Amino acid sequence: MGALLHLGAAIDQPGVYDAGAYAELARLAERGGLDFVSVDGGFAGPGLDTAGVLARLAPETGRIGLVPALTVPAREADAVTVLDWVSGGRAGVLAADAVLGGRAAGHPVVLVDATGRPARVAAARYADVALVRAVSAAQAAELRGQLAALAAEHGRDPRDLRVLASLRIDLGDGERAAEPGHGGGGPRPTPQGPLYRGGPVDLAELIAVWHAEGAVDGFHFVPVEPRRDLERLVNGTVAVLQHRGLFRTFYPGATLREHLGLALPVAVSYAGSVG
Amino acid sequence: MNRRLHLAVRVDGAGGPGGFPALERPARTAERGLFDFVLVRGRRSPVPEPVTLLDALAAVTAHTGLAATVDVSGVEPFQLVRRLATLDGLSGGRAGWHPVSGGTSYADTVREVSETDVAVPSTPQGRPVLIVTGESEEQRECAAARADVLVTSYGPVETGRAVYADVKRRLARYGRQPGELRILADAGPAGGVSDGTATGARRSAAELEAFVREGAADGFLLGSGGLEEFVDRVVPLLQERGAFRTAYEGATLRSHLGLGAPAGKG
Repeated sequence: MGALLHLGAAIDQPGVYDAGAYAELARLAERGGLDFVSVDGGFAGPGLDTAGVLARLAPETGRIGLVPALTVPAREADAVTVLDWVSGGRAGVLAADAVLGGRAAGHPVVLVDATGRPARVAAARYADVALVRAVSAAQAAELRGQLAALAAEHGRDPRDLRVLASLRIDLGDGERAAEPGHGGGGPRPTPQGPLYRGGPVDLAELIAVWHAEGAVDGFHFVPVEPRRDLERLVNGTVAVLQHRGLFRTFYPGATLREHLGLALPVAVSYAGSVG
Repeated sequence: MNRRLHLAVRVDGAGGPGGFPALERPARTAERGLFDFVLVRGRRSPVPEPVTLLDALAAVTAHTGLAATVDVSGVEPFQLVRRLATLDGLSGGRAGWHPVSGGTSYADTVREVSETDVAVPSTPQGRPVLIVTGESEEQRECAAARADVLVTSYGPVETGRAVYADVKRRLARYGRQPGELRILADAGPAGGVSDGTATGARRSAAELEAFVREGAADGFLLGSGGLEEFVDRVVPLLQERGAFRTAYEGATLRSHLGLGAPAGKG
C-alpha cells in the first residue's frame, strides 16, 4: 500500500469580511475531502484574526482541519486551544518558527514553513508537517531528504513528519499551460513562491507524479483567485485524483491528526479530555 | 418614554464536559427568548480565550449579541482589538466585551483597547459594546466615561434608583446622553427569578417590569440556570405587558440595546 496523499488549501480572501464567503470555501474544500483549510492572514496586510475566522467556520464544517497561520503562536496558544475545542480536535497551527509553534500547541497539529534553513532544522525537530517550496519533484525530494536526515539526527522517526509542497495555483488558463515558453505544466518560481499555472487535470497529473516518486506527502495550495481556483481544484483536480484512487473520498477519521495519519502527541488530548 | 427592558444571560461552563454543545444550547435559548446578549464567562475556565469562542457561537446564532468576560491583565491591546473586530465583522455587528482584571492596569487597558483602531475596515458597530461591572466610585465613573452597559446589583428598588440616577447624571460630564448607557441589574439565575411555577413567573415578570419602570435599571443580567423556563414562561408575560420586544428589530447588539453609534465613529 502506498503512502496516503494529503492536501490542504488556503481560503484567504483579501478584503472579504463576510463569514459566509469563508464558510462557502471551507465547505467546498470539505466536500473534496481535503485534509485542511488554512487562513494565512498576513498576505493582505494586518486584518482578520486568523484563529477567529476558523473558529467561526468550525460549527459549519464537520471534518476538515482548520489551520490558522499565526505570527507568534506562543502568544496565541489560548486561541488555538479554543479552536481545537470548538472543532472537536480539528485545529492546527501554521507557524514561521517550529519552536514557537511547538510550544504554543500541545495537541493541535503544528505546521511549519520550512523554506529557510533555520526553519527547516526546527521543523525537522518539532513540526508535524513541514511545508517546502519546490519547482520540481527532484527539488522537493531533495528537501524532503534533508528534512528526513535532520529529523533522524534529532532522534525522530522521519515517518512522523509529513512534508507538503507549498504551491500557488492559477487554474484559470484552461486545460493546458497557455503561455509560450512555459515549458509544460510545471511550477515556476515567483517572488511569492512556486506558481503552478495550468488546468486542473494537468495539476492532478503533477500531484500524482510527485507523490508516486515519493518527493512529497502532499501539497498545500494557495489559490491565486480563491473562489475560482478552489472550485476547480475540488471539482477538477481532486475529482480526478479520487477517480484514480489516489485520494480519499470520505474522512475515515474525525481529527486533523487522524487525517494526516499522525500519532497522538504525548500530551493528553485537550479535545479528548473535555469532550 | 421607552420603558422596554433589556435582557442578557451569563453563560458559564465553557470548556466543560458537555463540549461546545453545552455552550451552544443556552446561546440558542437566549436567542429564542430575544435576549439582547449572551455573556460568556471565560475567566478561570478551561477555555481560556473567550473571544475566539464567541466566533464559533456566531455561527450557530443569527441575532443575539455575543459578549465575553475577558481578563485583560497581561493582554496585548492590539491583539484583543483585532479579535473583537474580527468577531464584530464575522457576526454582523454583535460583539461585546466585559473586561476584568486582577491587576492595576485595568482602566488603562480598557482605555487603550477602546481607543485603538484596527486594520479591519468598517466593523459593523464601529466599536464592540463595552460592558463594565460594579458600583464603586471608580466603576461608576468608568461606566459614565466610556461604557455601553453597566451591570449593577439587584436589590431594593430605592437603592437601585439611587445608583441608576447617580450614574446617569455622571454621563453629562463626558458629553453623553442618559440613553447612551444601559444599566442592567444582576438578578441571579433565571430559574431563581421565575421559580418554576406559573404564579412565580407572573410575579417575577411584574417585579422585573416594576424595577425598570421605577427607574432602578434598564434591564437584567440573568444566570443561565433555569434559562429555558424563563424564556418559556416569563418572557411571554413581559411581552404581554409590552415590556419586552416581540422580535429583534435591528441587526447589531448596539441596536438591541437602543444605543447610537459609538462616540468618535460615524
